Amino acid sequence: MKKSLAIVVAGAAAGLMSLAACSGGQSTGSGSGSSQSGAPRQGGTATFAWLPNSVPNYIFPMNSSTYYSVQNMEQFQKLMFRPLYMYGVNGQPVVSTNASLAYAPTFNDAKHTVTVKLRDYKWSNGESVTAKNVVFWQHLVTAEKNNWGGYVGGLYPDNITSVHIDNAHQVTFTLNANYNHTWFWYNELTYITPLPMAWDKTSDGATPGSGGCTNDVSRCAAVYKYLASQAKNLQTYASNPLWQVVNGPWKLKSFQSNGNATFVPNSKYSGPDKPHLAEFKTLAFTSTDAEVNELRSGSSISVGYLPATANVSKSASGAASNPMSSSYNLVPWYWWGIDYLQPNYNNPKVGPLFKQLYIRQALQHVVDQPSVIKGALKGFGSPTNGPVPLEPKNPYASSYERSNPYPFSVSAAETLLKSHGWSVVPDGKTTCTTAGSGPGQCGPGIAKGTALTFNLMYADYGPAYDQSMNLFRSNASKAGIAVNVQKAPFNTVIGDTVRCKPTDSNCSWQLSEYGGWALRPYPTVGQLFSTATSDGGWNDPKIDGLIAAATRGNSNAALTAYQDYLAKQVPLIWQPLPVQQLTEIVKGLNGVTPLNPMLTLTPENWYFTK
Amino acid sequence: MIVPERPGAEPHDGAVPESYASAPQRGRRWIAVVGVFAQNRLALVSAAFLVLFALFCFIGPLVHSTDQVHTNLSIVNLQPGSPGHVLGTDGQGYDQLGRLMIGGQTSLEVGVAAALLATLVGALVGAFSGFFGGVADGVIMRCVDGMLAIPTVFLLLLLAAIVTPTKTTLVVIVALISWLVTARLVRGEALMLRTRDYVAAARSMGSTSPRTVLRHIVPNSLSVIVVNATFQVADAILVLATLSYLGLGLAPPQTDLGGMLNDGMNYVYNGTWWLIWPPGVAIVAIVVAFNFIGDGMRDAFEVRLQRR
Repeated sequence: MKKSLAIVVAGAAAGLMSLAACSGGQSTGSGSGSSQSGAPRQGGTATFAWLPNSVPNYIFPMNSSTYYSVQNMEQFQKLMFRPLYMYGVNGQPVVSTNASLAYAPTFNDAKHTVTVKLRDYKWSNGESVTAKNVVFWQHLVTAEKNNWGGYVGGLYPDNITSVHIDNAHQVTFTLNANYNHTWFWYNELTYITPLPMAWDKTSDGATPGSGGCTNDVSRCAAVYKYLASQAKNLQTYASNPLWQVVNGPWKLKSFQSNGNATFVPNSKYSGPDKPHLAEFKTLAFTSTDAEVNELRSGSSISVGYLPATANVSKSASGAASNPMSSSYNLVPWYWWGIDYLQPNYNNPKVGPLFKQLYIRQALQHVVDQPSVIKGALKGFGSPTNGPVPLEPKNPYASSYERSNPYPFSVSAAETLLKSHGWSVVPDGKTTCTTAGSGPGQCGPGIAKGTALTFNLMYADYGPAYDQSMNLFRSNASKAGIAVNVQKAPFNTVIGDTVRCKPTDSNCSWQLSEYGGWALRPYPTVGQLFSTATSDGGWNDPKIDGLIAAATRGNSNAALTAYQDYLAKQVPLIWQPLPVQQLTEIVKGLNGVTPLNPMLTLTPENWYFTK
Repeated sequence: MIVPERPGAEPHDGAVPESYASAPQRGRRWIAVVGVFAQNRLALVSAAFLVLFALFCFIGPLVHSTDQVHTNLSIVNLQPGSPGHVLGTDGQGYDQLGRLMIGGQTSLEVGVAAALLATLVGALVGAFSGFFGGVADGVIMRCVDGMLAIPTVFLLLLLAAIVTPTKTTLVVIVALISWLVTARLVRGEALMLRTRDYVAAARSMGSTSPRTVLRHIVPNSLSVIVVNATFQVADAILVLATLSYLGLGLAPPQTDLGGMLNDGMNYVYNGTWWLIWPPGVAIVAIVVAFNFIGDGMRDAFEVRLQRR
């Protein structure tokens, strides 16, 4: 649960404003998008506007669940502290070997090992980024895995049995089994963030390395405690010598706890993408209105956003109309995720209903994704038909999932219910008239007279979600399915959506929509669907096997089987995925697009032209 | 002990106590009340407005029939005057004129019901508290004071978060925070009335305490109760609007005027005035109308004001 919550929070933050993806991984700008013509000019200051109440608040890149957010990890820490592997290339959810600290890993399935060779990177204090820095992280996360928000039992770091320094620039991990190479590389090795020796200590005045964590896992607890305590002091982010030792393209010049920050280029940065800007600033706003007012003034924001209710539309060609076209280019920011309604299979009242495939199919049939995307999302969204995102365009989504197995059809939903013993009353009370477990009957655990009624709680993400949820309620009503929708703050929804037993007092939730799930680059989401970790109590040994096959074998067929089965079984009621935000990029600023579908900020690529 | 005569020992307006009055006397008094009320033009216009608004809300849907259950995202936020939508459509594609009718229905139903419930509870609690006095009165009034000290918005948010908003629960929630003022007012009246001779006479003839309260105290506090009830309706409608504006109102497809206002605010930068002005004006007009009626009723009941 901890893991799922952590990722959900990140995903929810991502879905806050609603967002977009670029078709084919590329931005669909306002016709002009963000042009990249003209020679880059060195210097200048660019500013980035945070979403309301979504600002970074943790600098140490080993984030606990509390700090496991997109803002901290993808849009703040990575500017200074680079992981082994960066992801997001040309708007695609893939690892960028060019921008990463290491070359592509080498797997040896016979020995269950993976070898990582580091590029020649330097820390800002002049030291090289070496295998020791990797081992330092590995030891720290192993010792403090319960304090790391990305931890899921059995996966990283549990599945690494040992780590060996081959030489100063090469490290070999031994795994407890063979894993899908791409999965392990994209979803596990991307967690690893080499840490500088200057952090391996337990007090301010201690000598770098004196903490001993790099050499001995048992000494990592004290080091972690020290680093975590330092990271909680937001006022010292720009002055604490710890955080001035970076290997990324940026160093922090100033930081305020409200999220206002100024970065300057790291002059010792040894990567290929050295910053062009003299400064990169982030600005915090307490509301979307405040940000939009600032945007309208055209004074201080280089990269901002429009509210989801803005008067925008998407033409047939994919171009977006832009109410601020005189100063900005509009680029929807699509992200790598899926959206869905989470049923509670253990709810004592409606759990037996959700366990029936035909009822899930009926619910999926009344989700009118095209209308939501066109109407509520104004064209800036993508359908979800299964566990693998359809946008940005990617090689993972299968043809079956793309075909949308359960397209919008109220009549199909009605037919399914009628053929299983329900007396369907459109806009009325549909009841089970033929109880039993046989063909044509309602199913086990469903008594005669049971009403087809669900309570749906959804997070308050604004009008687009209101429209989407109400359209679902409306269409369900036409098919005789009563859905009582209730909006609640995100924290309430995510707090109520817990894994439970039917007898638990907290098992009263029925259907929940908390904003979707931000995926790791390789699109398997075991946490959502495995019997051991599903929040809704989904229990299916077959999917457990398919998850294992998709993550351990190297066959693409395994991933296809995994997603096709889930697309067919609809353990979650798939919903269209809005874009992250409607990004406004000031004219004259280049290199911002394509926006990273993993939501990573890379201002080192931004530049003004001569 | 000789109790000195003091103002208020007899009915302060010299009128015959309600409980002593004969049927013809009561009839003449109510006719007088109606007569005075009718002289207040603002109150009359307000009453007429409320009657018309009630007809608009409850009879209107029979004349202007619209689908207020199913959403239609292909016709969201249509401007007033669009074919078939005199007042345009809202963010869910509902006809805004029809929405105003069912929103008004809800506001009136919940507002009136909550006011009645609050008045009933407040009047009884206040009457008994004032009549018995002593420790019981002290305890009850301290409880009332304590509840009055809790910020209303906080209480509303808490209650609305605990229960699922339906018309019934909203009536109870609004009444729960509204009965306190009525209780204090009626308790004040009861403290005064319990010393009257006719109350003493009733007691001496064997009238039980509950009977005395219900037959003598409450009827003779009726002017305070009725006037306060009128203001309670206005307050209840405002409280409901506040709850809905905060997003804690009824679940779709139901709505009320505050909920409509809340929905409209989502598009405030898009120039969709028809989502904001109609429910906003309706809320203001209804509340003002009930307040004018309350003023008129107070004048009608208050004999001293009539003489001025």
